[in-house]
Amino acid sequence: MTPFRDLPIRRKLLLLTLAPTGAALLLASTGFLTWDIVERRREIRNDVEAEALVLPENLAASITFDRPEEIDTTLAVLKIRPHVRFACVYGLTGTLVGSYRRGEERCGPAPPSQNAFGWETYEVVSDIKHEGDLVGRFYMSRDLRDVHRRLLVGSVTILGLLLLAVGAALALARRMQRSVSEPLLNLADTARRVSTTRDYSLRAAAPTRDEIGVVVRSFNEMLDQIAERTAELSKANAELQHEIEERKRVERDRVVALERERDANRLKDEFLATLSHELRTPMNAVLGWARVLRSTAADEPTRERGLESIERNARAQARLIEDLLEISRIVTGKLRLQVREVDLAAIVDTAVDIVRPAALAKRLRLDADIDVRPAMTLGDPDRLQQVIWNLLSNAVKFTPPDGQVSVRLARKNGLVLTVQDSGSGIEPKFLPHVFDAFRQADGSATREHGGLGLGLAIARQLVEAHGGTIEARSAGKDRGAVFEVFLPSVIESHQPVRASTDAGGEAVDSSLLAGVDVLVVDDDEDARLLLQMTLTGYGAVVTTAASAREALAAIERSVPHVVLSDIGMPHEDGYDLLRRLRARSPENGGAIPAIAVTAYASAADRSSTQAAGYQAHVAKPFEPGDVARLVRRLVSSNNLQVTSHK
Amino acid sequence: MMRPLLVATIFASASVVVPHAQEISQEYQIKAAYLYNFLKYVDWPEPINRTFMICVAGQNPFGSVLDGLTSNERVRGNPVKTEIILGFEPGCDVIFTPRTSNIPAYLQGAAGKPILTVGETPRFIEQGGIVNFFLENGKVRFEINRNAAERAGLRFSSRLLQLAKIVDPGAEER
Repeated sequence: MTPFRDLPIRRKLLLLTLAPTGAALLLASTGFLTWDIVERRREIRNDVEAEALVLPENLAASITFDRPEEIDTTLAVLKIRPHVRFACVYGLTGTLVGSYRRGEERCGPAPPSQNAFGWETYEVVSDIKHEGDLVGRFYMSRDLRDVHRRLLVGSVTILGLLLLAVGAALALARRMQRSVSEPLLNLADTARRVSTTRDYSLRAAAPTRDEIGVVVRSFNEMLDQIAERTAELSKANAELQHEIEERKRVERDRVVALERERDANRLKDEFLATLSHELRTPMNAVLGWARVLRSTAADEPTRERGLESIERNARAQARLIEDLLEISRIVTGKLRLQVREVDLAAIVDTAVDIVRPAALAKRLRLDADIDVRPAMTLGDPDRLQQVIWNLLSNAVKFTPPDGQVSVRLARKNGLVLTVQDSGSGIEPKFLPHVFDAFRQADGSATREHGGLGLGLAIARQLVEAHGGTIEARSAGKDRGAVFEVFLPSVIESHQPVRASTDAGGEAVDSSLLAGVDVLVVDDDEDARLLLQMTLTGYGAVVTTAASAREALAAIERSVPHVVLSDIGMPHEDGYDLLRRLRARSPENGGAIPAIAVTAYASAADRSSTQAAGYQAHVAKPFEPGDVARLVRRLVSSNNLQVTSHK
Repeated sequence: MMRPLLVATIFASASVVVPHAQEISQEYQIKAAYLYNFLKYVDWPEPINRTFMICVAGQNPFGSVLDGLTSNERVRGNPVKTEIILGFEPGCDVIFTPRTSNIPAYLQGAAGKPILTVGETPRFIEQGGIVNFFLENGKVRFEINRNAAERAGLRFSSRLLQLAKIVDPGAEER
């Protein structure tokens, strides 16, 4: 059986109402009944005892004068007392002298010695006296069953009333407990539903103004707060989630960037090692041959060979440096294209001609299949040639002897240039990185092929700068490679422009700089001399100075048309010179056009020189023709001024 | 059946005092007891602070029975004495006149005095006696003349009156 405290509220309330009611009624009725019975018995006792006192008074004479019929007559008054069962009168010797009986019972031969208040009967005995003399004894028996009947009837009546009262109380309690239990049950039900469904929008009905109402309203307020808090929490949670994801993303990016940076650093290290090697190799030949030549013992053919080797190696080194500058320009976004209409077919021809000797040296078959003539496109001829030359020399370089290299130019939604070889091919792993700068398939010091690994990177940058694309394909290692360049074509014009090339050297126009005064400033005598020789060859009048101080002194003496100055010099560098020069009045040479001729060839160096006041920047080593033309241009734009000065 | 028992009762109280009780008839034994008991059911007009006197006129029919009943008994605090008288004695409280005695003489003597006169003859009440024994179905009963009692200044207990046959002839006689 369930303990009371675990019973449902509804039961509890009913029990609370019924139990005290029932108990009180039961107690009250039992008490009343008991009191009634006791009282009744007391009454009976008094009654019977009174009877036992009064009757014998009337009996004494009848006994004394021997009148039994008178005794019986006297006793007959007991008829009106229905509960008297019998009465007996005994004489002095104990003999029965008179009796009264209602039922079957008869008087015994002798009276009991004393009163007996029994369960069913009250038997009372009294002396019959007259004038103090004992005359006989009176014995009467009172039936007590009416009292029992009364007790029974009373009990039954009270029980009935009790049931009736409890029933009425039950009905009332049922009705009234609803006002207590229903809000509670409703509250419990709501709480249960909230806890199972987690739906904090549920509310318990709060119709009452009592304490339960207060509880219900508090519960609802609590739900309000929980719902609010849950909403806030989930919002904060979402924000947090978002932030965490953001941070994860940033962290991922950071890791990727870090890896990329590490990768780049490694590549740069490799690149620097390669660069050092590539720079030293030709330098070795140059220095070695220079030493051989100085030893005078060399005969004419040997001298020719030496000079040829020196020039070739110096050119190779210049090429390297040009590549470096190129990539630097590309990386810093300083690449400038001299775009015009060009014939790609002619450019391919030139490039094929350039690599043909190298191909022949390796006994390679070099096929050129050019379908489109002319193949007009918009572009910088020098750059485009650089691209084609790069692809071809790469093919030649990576194709073993007796192999084959072919180049094809076709038209297909623009121009398609294909360079195919039967060389070492590209591993699939490396294929996606083939156009990355500073990356070589073989980064080790023991690698077979020289070069900085910049060629393809430059090629791609240049092609893309022309609005084209470049692709590499390879069936795998030692199975050859195919490079394809797509360039947009333009409507053909009738005037194909010949690609200009400085490679083959050009005829010197000895009158280009006729009458131009040039001041050359360089602390290095060789460089000073080289510039002097070059510009003199073009007809210029050249003065030289070995330092900034000397230069300023020279200008003091005679103001030249142009100043060419090195940047890196001891004590006062090229920047200092220009600052001091520009500080002067135009009459004293403050406005002289100046050209920086320096091995500091980066874009940053270019802008620094310009900021210092130089009009132009020429990187060492320079092409003599370029320098001459540059001088000519500067002088021309300042011509009036110069001549007026003169 | 009851009667012998009642007689036995009376004997029981008298037997020691009266050794020859058997000689006395049952009738007189009862009459003796009644005589004695009348003392208890009659109110005398004035307080009596003396010995109750029960007098038997002439020949004593009770033998020693009456003596045995009364000796050592007290009625209303007073001792009781029995006496045989041969003529009227004013000191008697109760005078029993057997049928053999000169009844009118005793009645005359007692007239107007608070003396209870008891007889056993059919004309006793006519003669002015107060209580008279008679036999009915062999049982001793008594009749009472209330007028005579009034004249004597005696009052009977109502309970005694209930048991007696009431005869009130005195009014015509007067």
